Amino acid sequence: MKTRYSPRSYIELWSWLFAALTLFVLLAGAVLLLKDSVLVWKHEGTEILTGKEWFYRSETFGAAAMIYGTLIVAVLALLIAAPLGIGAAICTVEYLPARWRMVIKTMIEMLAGIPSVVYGLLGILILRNWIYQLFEDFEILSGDTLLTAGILLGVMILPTVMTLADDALSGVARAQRIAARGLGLNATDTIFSVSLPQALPGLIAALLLALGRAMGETIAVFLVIGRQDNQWPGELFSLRPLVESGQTLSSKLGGAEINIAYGQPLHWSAMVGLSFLLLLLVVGLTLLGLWIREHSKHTSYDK
Amino acid sequence: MTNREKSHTKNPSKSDSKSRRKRRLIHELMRLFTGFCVLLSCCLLLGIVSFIVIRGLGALSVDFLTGVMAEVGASGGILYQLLGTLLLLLTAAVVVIPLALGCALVQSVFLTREAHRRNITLVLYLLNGVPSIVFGIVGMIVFVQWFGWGKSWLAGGILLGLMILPTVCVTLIERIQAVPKKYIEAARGLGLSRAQTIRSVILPQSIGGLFTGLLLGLARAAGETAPIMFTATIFSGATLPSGVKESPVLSLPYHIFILAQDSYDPATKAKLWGSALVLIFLVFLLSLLALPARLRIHEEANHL
Amino acid sequence: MSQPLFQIRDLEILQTTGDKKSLLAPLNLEIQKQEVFGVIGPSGAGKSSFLKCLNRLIDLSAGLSVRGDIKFEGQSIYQGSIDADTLRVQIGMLFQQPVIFPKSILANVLFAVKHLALAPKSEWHDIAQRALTQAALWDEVKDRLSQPAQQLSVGQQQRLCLARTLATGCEVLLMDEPTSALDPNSTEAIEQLILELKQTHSIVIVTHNINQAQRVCDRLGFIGLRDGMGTLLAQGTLRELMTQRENVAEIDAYLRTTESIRLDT
Repeated sequence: MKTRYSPRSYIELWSWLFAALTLFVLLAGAVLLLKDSVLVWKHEGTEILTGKEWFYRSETFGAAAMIYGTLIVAVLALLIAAPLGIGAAICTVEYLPARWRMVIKTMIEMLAGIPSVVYGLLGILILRNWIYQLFEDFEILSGDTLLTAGILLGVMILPTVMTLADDALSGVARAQRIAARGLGLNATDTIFSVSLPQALPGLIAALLLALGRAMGETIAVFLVIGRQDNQWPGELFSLRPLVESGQTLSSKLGGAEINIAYGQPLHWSAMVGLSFLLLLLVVGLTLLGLWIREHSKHTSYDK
Repeated sequence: MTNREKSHTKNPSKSDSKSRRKRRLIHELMRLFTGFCVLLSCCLLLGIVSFIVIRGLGALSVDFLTGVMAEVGASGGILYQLLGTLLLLLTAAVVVIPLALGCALVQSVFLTREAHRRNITLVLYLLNGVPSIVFGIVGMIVFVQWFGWGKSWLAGGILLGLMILPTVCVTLIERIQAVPKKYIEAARGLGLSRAQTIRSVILPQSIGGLFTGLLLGLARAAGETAPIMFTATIFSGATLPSGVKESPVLSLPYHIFILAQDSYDPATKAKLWGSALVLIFLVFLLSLLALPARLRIHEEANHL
Repeated sequence: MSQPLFQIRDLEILQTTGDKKSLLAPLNLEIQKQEVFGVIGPSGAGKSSFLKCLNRLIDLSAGLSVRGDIKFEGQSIYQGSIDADTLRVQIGMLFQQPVIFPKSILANVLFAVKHLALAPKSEWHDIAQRALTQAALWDEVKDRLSQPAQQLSVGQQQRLCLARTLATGCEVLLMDEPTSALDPNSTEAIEQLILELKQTHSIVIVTHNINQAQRVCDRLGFIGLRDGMGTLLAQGTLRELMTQRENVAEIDAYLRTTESIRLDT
């Protein structure tokens, strides 16, 4: 059917209108973020990425420590959620009967439904005390640490990892598994020789999307990370900073500083600049994840 | 043909059975490990939920649900927090329904080129990935700075509506695509126009998807704090809004968020758990309402 | 006569969900070594499920359970403590649609050999060559062993699947309508292979094509639907089956729906 892009009915006109509106709103949002942060790009240049110090009174806006915090917390979360989520997905797809799979999937999706503020509450009332007791010997100042935020985030993105990994694994054709089993491979041999290699792009995409989600998460992290500015680690690869307070891009944006900044052009544009950086990071990871997934769909063998 | 062709498994050598034992061991270990993963994940959920239920049940009463907060959260109830959240959800639903319908129909009916369809899907996935705090910041730029609304329930509802657009839209698209081709062809064959086909065949068959997606989206929106904390909601001193400008509401997630940061007073703590329980109940209720339809879709997919 | 290859006693397939009805009525049958045994009958009668029972691949079908027993070379495969995976190495299977792993031709042939560590690496090349030669594919692919197997035609893919199974050194082959997805030329090639493999292998083949059954099978079993259950209604040579035609209405009905056959023998 040849399409003419002239609407032929109210319903079509209406659909196009609202679809266009959606697109317009999204574009406008991105443009506004960029426009409102122009001041800080001019003021700091690349210093905003590399600068380790953020003092708004002296108009120094370096986000390196926050970017470090964001990455560390997200990677910690992934270290927890990846083995657990992929392991659970393997179990439900490959070992358990189908009806169990639906029960567990439903339960995990409920886990995803718990609001982040409730996770934050659990973090603040329980997890940070555990962390404090556990690391008391290291003379840590409080239970509000990067590690606390990482663990909490790990639990929060677990459903994302598991659901997407489940999708990736169940996307591998059943006939492929049956063929491998028919040759005498046991269920686990089949996982390692058929399911995992074929689902690999989907699994990588799952991890990237989950990483993006972890970086963007605000409220729970905000409540347990301590929100200490300028925590650039003395040694980049030492573990000590993990049990100290820190700041992530999102926890910074969630804080009261945004109200201080409002009305002061440069400071405000610095805050908007941070959210633009965060958006860039997350959208980049999401795009990469989606690209890997799509790309593999076209090259993989579907039968 | 002789027997030389099949020698290597005829007499299983020692190394052969050794490899079999090794594979067997790996198999058992894998089952153990992945089973542990499932168990731990499920225990986490049950643990978290039961923990909140146990802590929160004590605070729950009719007075708690119908009372007004007093003493900075240490006594009273959460009536206006609950009403505020419901108002935000209702607004979000009103905002998202036309947008989702439009996007879904364009994606799955009006666009005929696969590349264009994929682009819409991509936009939806990207939107889904946008951190909720970024919605908050953009909302602040638009509604607070630009429109001069101050904090307003309408701003919060619009932001939440946009935020859940991908969830609603993707669910609806899946449902539209599940409408059997033969129905559509039959309708077109009867001489119905495209608009009539949409009205009489596609929408009646897939409108359930809109509600399922809406419930799932609202379940997510109900618990969100970040998009509304700068744009729509305050901690105390508001009832129901009477206008748009400078008319914030109270909301459950923000209530919990603020009290959680100042959570040393035992009386406040008890109320806090009660509020968390109500919020979780609301979220689970919304997603459970969507569950039957989703299970049906899954079953249909499996029977294909 | 020596010990039969398969000794099937009261084999029954039941649904474990829903109305728990029986898919296959208790079935007794003996299949001999070095013969091509054909299973024919209308579709939906459970021929494929029956075939999957022989190497316990039926275990992987959700919602089905098996009662009764099969003795494979005298050893019980359902009641003993036999390892189903090891059993499946000995009893290879070919499916209706060729299922190719998205790897190279060589990796496909050696798939089981590699993952089951059936032979040391030094022997892999010889095994691959032997298996591909047996499947009459060597000459066509010997120059492009490292190319993706997806590039082969469907007929070649099916022969690759055969080679993959033969590479494990199995002596029994189960074939589930192996030619129904193939064009006439490829079908002929597979049939030719069956006749050659018969010298060294025992073969059980499900087919919907009575002409094919006549060309390749030594003996046949007819599984028809009776009372909604798959039931073994007759067995013997095709000629013996034809003589049953008057007694068993299901066979008559089935033969009417298939193309007319010429009984030259």
